[in-house]
Amino acid sequence: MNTKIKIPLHTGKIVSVRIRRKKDEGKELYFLFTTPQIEEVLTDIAVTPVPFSPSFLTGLYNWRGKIVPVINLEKRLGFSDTDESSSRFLVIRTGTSTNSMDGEILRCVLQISDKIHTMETPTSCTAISADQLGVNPPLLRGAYQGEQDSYLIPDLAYILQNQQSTNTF
Amino acid sequence: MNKICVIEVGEFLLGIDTSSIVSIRDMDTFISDKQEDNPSLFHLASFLSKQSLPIPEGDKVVIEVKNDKEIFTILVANRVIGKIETPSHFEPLPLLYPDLASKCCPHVFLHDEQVVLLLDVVEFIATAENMENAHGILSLNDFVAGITETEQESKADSDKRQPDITVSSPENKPSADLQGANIPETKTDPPKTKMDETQFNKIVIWTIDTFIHCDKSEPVVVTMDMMPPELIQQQGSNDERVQIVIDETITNCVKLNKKILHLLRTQATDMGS
Repeated sequence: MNTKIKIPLHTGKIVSVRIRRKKDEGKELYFLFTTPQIEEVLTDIAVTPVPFSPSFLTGLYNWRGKIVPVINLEKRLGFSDTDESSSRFLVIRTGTSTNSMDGEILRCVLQISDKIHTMETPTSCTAISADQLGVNPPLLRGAYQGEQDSYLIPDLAYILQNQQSTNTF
Repeated sequence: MNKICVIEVGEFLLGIDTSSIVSIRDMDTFISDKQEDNPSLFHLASFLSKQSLPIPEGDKVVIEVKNDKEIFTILVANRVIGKIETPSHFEPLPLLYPDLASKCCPHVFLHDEQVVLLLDVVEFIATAENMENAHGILSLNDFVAGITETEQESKADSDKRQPDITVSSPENKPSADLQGANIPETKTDPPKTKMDETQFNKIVIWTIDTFIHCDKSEPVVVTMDMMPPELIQQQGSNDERVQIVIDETITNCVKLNKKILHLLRTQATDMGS
């Protein structure tokens, strides 16, 4: 029997972003982020594409004088049949170390759906494997199944520091 | 590093160290000079996006670059945005980008609020030489055929389209052995379409001056053939546009003149009474 757990995120509000998938693909999936991670939500940005890049790497963006990569997170995780017409751009940061005092702060812009909401940390979830969702395991810090929806916590530090070829599922 | 030439290549924005650039020419000049030799060209937009893109009319700039072994390569780009001072700050291309991208464009920088990829010409030439199934490498004759095809298609859609940009005139064509290249500082608009602010101001000033010295007992008529030769040579815009500016200026002068005369008459009447 699966043990019910609380998603191991910081207490307080978190941000969920619905993943765009075909309607017949089962439960709704959401990316989860902590609110301190999110720097800004943008509706439209001027991206400079980078040659020879896979389709999930949209390009580079000048965010307040910092050059940050723009990633289509749904494509990166393999949810390729996504409708990009209603995208938002989430400027987000992450650390290279679990200890906030160590490591380096990394930033990126995530191209995601416009279904962005704040919510309380879901309780009584069941941990599920990334394989069950068809996602390459290193790309996730965790995957959880709630009563109605499933939640994915992307490992942004891993995504930002590794090329696709080194972790092809 | 010398200055950097910023170019637009399809959807990409690239910077090239000007010391690697041998020459920059507009496509028409290049075709007339080199069509007999039929050299190989890199259609950069196709090469960098790894797909054979249709050759649009906008691909009007030919940039000849060289590596440290004096191997010359001819690149085709959409347009030259300008020559800029070397930025004080470069950043490496983020780790997650493919090796091929970081080989060709190892550094990025900001210019005019946009991210520009600095093209490493040495690595680019080496990569292009070793790449199998590279897209966008074609002979000049094939390129010309591609342009003609595109032009015919676009003429079918609209018979009044002008090329996006004129990069450099044949008179400014740099010699092939020139170290560094003749690079326009800024985008130049096609001639005889727009009037810049300086030209506009000169025409307005001349028109006002002409109006002041005209006999106002009759309707004032000023035409552009009354303009001094040096102003005509400088203005570079079409005659119709210049005449419109003159006419509008005269209309305003006449209105202002009437107001002033009316004011003076009113004051004189007041003083008389």
